[in-house]
Amino acid sequence: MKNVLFISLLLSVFCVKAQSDWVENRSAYPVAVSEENVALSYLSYTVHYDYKYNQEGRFICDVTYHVIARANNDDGLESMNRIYISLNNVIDVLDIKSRVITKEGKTVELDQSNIKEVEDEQTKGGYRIFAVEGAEIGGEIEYRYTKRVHGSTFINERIQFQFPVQRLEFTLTCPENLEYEFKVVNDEIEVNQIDTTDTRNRYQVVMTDIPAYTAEPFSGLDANKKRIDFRLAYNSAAGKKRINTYADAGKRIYENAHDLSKEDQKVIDNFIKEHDDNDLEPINRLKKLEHELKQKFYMEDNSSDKVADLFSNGFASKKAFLKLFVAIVEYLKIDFEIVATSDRSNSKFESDFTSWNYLDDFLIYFPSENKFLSVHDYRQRYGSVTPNNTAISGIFIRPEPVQDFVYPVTRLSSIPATSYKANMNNLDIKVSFDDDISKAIVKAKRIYIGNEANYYKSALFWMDEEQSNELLKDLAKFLAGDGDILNVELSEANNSVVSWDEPYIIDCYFENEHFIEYAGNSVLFKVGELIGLQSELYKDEERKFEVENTHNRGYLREITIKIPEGYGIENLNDLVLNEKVVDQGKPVYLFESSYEMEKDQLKIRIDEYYDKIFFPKSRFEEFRKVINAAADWNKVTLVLKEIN
Amino acid sequence: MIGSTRKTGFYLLFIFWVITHSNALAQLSPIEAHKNYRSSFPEESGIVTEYRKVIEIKRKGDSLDISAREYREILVLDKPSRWVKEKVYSSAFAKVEEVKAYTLLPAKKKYRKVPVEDFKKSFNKDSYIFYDDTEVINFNFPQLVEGAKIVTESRKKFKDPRLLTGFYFASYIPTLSSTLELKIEDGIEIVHGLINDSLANITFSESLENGVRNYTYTVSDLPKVDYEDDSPGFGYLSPSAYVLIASYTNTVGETVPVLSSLDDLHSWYKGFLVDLELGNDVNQVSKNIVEPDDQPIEKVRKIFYWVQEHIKYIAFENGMRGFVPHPADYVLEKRYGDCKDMTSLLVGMLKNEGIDANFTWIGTRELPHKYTELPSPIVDNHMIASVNIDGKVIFLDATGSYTPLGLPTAMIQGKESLISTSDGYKIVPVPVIEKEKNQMNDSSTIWLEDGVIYGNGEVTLSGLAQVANSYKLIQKTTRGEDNYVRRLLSRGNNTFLVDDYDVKNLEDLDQPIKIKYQFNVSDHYREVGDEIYINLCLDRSLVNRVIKDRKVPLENSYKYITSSFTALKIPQGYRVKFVPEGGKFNSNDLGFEITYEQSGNSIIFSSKIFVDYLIMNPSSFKDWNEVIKAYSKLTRKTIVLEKI
Repeated sequence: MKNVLFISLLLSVFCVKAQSDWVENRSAYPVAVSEENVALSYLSYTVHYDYKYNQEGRFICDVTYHVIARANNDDGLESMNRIYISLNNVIDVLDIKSRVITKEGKTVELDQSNIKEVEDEQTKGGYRIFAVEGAEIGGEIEYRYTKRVHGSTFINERIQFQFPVQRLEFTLTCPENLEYEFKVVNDEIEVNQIDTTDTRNRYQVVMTDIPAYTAEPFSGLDANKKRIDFRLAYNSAAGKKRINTYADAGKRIYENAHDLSKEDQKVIDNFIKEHDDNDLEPINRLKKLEHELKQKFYMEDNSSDKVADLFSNGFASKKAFLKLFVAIVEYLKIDFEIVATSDRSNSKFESDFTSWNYLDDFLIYFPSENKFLSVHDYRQRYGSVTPNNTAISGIFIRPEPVQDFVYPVTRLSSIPATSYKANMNNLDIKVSFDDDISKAIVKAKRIYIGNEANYYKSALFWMDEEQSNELLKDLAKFLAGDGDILNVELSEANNSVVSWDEPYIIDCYFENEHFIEYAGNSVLFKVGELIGLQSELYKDEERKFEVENTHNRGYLREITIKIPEGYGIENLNDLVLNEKVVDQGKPVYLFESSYEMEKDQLKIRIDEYYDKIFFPKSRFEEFRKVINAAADWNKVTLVLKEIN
Repeated sequence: MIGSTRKTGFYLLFIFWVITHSNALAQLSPIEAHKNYRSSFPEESGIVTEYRKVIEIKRKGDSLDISAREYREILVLDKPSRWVKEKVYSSAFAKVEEVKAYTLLPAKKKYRKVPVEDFKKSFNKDSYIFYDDTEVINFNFPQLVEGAKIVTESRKKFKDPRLLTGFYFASYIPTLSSTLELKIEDGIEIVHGLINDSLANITFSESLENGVRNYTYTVSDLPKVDYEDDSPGFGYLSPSAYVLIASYTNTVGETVPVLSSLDDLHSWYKGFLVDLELGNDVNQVSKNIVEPDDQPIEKVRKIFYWVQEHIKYIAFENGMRGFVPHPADYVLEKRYGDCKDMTSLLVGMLKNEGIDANFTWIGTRELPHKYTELPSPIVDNHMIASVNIDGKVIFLDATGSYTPLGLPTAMIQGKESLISTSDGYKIVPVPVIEKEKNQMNDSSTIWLEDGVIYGNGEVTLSGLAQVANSYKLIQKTTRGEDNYVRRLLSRGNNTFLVDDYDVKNLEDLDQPIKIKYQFNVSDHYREVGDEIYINLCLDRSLVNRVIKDRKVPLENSYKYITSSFTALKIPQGYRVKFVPEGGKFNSNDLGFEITYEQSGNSIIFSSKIFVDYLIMNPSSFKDWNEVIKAYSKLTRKTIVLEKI
């Protein structure tokens, strides 16, 4: 970033004493009770950001990590005895120290000549790497390094790991003209400004006993880890105004989205010329162009931001995709807004804290249609976006014409998730038996809609024939289990631009003898296995996180079974299972099954849906019951007895 | 293996191919070529149209100048985006001096060349080698479309004549033409030949031109190597050629041996073991581990276990470090090392205790070669120690943690080892561990209560089953361990929960692991009317092991026996109405025996399954499947209890 510098600021170029000193000849930490049964424990984890201006007046930061850990088993030790220092954004690594204090109190220092540097031109980074020398179970592993990086304005610092932390200290120091703001994500604690000298501001938080992070099913993955997000909010040297606001971000994103070289413009023009269909309505023209692009090009992080490179290599960054789509919608003269938000599985867009780090993903919003378009996700088409970009907020950047200029105006708004009805995974199954009831003969139709279908539809553009056939077999196998798949075919792909919203349908035909067991003269038919193995939450564990679903979805299953002549079923009521969760007067999670007998036909209907992305931890048990109802139904077995 | 006449389906496929696809690619226009091959290979997205390697060996002063030029051309049939990325590897021993790559874009009559301009090095953080001086050179083929060709040309220099590598004719995609040319200057003796040549019809020709001998191996229309899960290494599946430089004549007319025999290989290897003098640290540590009056075998046991426990595997590939071990004292201090380092420490400590311990080279099972057939470093990729106790060789592979003395690691079973002895060397095969030593035995008592099966039992794991499970039972988190135990003991259905368990002997490698456990499974037995139906074959893991549509052999990491005894307590007020019959069936590779026995108020179910292969060829799949089917049939029989 560019800064207006004053001579007084130049004077502030000095190195503050490192916050976490390397104590020579120290003795080992006492073993805490909390370390028992833990593979590795961070005894102390210290991070210090020291912002400053260098001699040339550039804004830089010395970031120091000082970690002391003790391993109690091989897995713990082996996740700590190889250290990688990322060189991404790094100007220089100033200091690396590492040592081990053995159980017996002996110290083994790292031989500096064993530190290696490895290049990675692809990620514009590389690593300094070293193996910790003398590490053993029960001993302490300690390392500290400082890397000088270009001063960044927004940082998300992770402070929760796969192992617990006994004490964590985070400090940030900066020249007094700068003011930082903080949010400790997934924790109540706050970072405080603890000191202001004439020349430096200092912020700190100390946390104790941060538990190990363990992922839970139906939860938000990495986004649930504790983090310290911080941002540069004021620079008094540049004025009193709050800096790095979302309005600023909107302006920057808007400008970048229009940063096209002649070469970029040329490839876009050629593409439009080749694929645009003037006879269509503008939205349909957009859909057609989107469809063309998303079956050929894909996004890759750390790749080029240039549209021309996207056309040459077939892949580019999210930014390149944004430029391309903005160029297309402007060409088609469709009203639009650019939306920037986060991938909520990684970090949730926090509405009460401004950080440009929440602006990783781009969508385009069409106000007149109230629809979104995901610029880089090749699985999505107009009207449906990456589920992890929904059910959170984002910034909406609207191009506002002001006389001859267009001025980007930014607002905060939410990106709604689609209803379960838009994302269905349905089954239509007909079952009969062979004469001696030795196997079930099954004709099944799998019907996928919306996000349940998008992956399969788009995969057809990327997989070769062999892989597509494998995929079909896998989808049939989900139902057929250990049976013999006699035929499987894709009856409706519906992956053209005009049919995209129609279902993706697979027909399969299989026989399975494992659905049948014999108990003397009775026949047991494992009807539950017809719906395939279901997600389960049988293990009763203390829930840590709120429920989070990737997307809302529904399952409608209709099963018709021809009962063999001369047999009756004794336990039809086992087919009935009902569980639902009602929120604000309406069912949000539901599992309902019922049956009716029509002559020799047993007709079963199962409705199941999940229609709320987030649900509080306090009501987890209710959610769990619905999930387990489906898993329980998978075990229903009918007892067929000969009618005397 | 060399020159083996192993018949497989490939050969027949190949004959068929030659008859139907005599091709003349050169005469086709780009559009015709694409059309033709697209219809010939409807399942493929690309084929190798030409693969050529020219190895040139010249005398240069008193040494050799060895270079290899490679030309690889792929015709993109479909899904161009899959072919964009390519990489070339450059190691210290085979350094890439030049790499050229380009896209050949199809035009009306011929192709238009578009060169790759950007080559970027990358680092793989997830590689099992921590530091590797092999450079990965990445690039993207520009402007790819269907029908384009992608060409990579490279020139490598071989630094050491012993490290010349061979040539694989086949690929993971079909190959139209594959050629290896050897250009050998007068005065250089080489040994060359084919491996797995029964898989293809490779023609050979030789000629003499200006004192240079030309040998050419060529093959057309090679089917792809159909690599699947649990396939043996690529070296078993592709036809290949080997080239060894036996000797050459230097400027004064003397013959300089290179790899004319195993003597040469060993004497070269032996040179890496000088400068491994023992220091005082090794002496001190060894003395602390063993008692002076321990029998030799006890000393070996204690030292082997100590090294396994205290030295962690971290691999470095750095020039000759790939061959030269560190001295024992160095490894002792660092507490980490690769296979050579661990061997160095083992040999050092054992020798210090007066044990006859030796450095031993070996190839893991991934490599198909034998020292007795090829005196070359391509035979091996691993180093272990071996000791001779009372005339019996014991192999010590310290890289395999948790390995009891007397067991080799699974990955070296059946391989030839090259043992460097005080007076030379010897080749000793590592035994294949028989199934009786690798066992999982389970014994449990179960009872029924309110729809739930409760039970307690004990499982015993021995031999390589013990080793494999030790890795899984030592986890980063207790939750990870709990989940693994649940998976290991799993039975009935996925409601299976472990209420409590206790693992014993994890630290005592000489004892089998014992896990005592209590569990419950819901929804497995049915109570309908006056009857209870319960299937006592709770472990269904073998049922879905039918091998379908597989063309390549199946590899198994070790042979084993799994047995289980389940005693069902008959609930009060019930009597036995029906007990299924047991049975037994076996093939060479697989077998089982199931029995039911009523004893007092219990029914005892026992099952014993053995798996007795390391590599199973497709010709044995039918027999295997017969056993699985017989097993499945028996497991579908259910016990019936009725109310008294």
